[in-house]
Amino acid sequence: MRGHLDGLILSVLEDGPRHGYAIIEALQARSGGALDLPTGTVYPALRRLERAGRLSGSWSTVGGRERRTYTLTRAGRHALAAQRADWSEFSSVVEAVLRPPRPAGEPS
Amino acid sequence: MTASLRDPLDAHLAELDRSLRGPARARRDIVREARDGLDDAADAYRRGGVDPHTAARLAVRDFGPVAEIAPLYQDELAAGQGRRTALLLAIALPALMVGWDFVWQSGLAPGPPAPAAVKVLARVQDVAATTIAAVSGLLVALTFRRTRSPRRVAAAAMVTSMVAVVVCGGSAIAMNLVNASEAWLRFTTQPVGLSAYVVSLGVMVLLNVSALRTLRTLRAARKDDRHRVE
Repeated sequence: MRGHLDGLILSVLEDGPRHGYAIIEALQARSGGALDLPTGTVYPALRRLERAGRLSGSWSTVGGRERRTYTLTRAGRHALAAQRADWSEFSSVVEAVLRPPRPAGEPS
Repeated sequence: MTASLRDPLDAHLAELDRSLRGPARARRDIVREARDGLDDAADAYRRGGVDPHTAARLAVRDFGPVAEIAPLYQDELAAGQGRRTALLLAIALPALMVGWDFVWQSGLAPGPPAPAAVKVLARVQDVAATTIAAVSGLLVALTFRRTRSPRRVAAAAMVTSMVAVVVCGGSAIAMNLVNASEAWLRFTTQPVGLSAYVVSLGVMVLLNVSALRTLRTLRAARKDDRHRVE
């Protein structure tokens, strides 16, 4: 899961800036609660993406509280698009291989 | 909030704070953000009807053990410190070269022509400083690569900085020792010469401090690894 976390984070930030806990909630909501990783791993991942210039993080006031809010940068959008393309290629290859073979005799 | 609600969160955050090594501001920022996240998670549990103390405990459980999370943060602290060190090298060394060239060519620090040994040393220093600055520029660029091991890049920045101090600082000292009487005269009678010396010394001290700080963040990261193995 760790290998994909960066891409998942970029994708939940696509529709607008969020703070750390909102990102965690969005990850859980989008995965239907199936994404079960220590929430503490998300915060260092945000720093890593920020260092790489894919997110920009800053403190701002959200709902009357100071929050560290993350915004997708242009480089982040490119990275997300590239990751999506890679993933769809990878998953279609795996799916093609995993698909049960047709029963013998059936015309192809 | 009651003390009993804060306890599990506070204890966890204090443990996280203790495990991190790096620039104080960066650490404070990290702990503050983690606190917000834990508070939010506990709030969500309480809204779901869980009592405050249990809510805090569940938030801490979801966050994960400090021994697992701190190394991830420590990588980022090391990367940040390594980037600073490399950036300082990439800017300060060329600036020193340009500065000293200006001092010599401006005629603000006049003197007899330098002996041959000094000229050789000056050439060595220029080549070393240019090479080190170029390497450092590359290291700064590498810190933007997410997949590069941040610790390796930080370690390379630390070593480069130490090499810079030894080679550039050493050749500067040697130049002045070869030509000691001239250097002393410049040091004592020429304000421009004196300030050039002071600035150069300051830069060398800064490079050293930056390298040592990087070393400290890296050693903390290695300690985390040992804990993880145990």
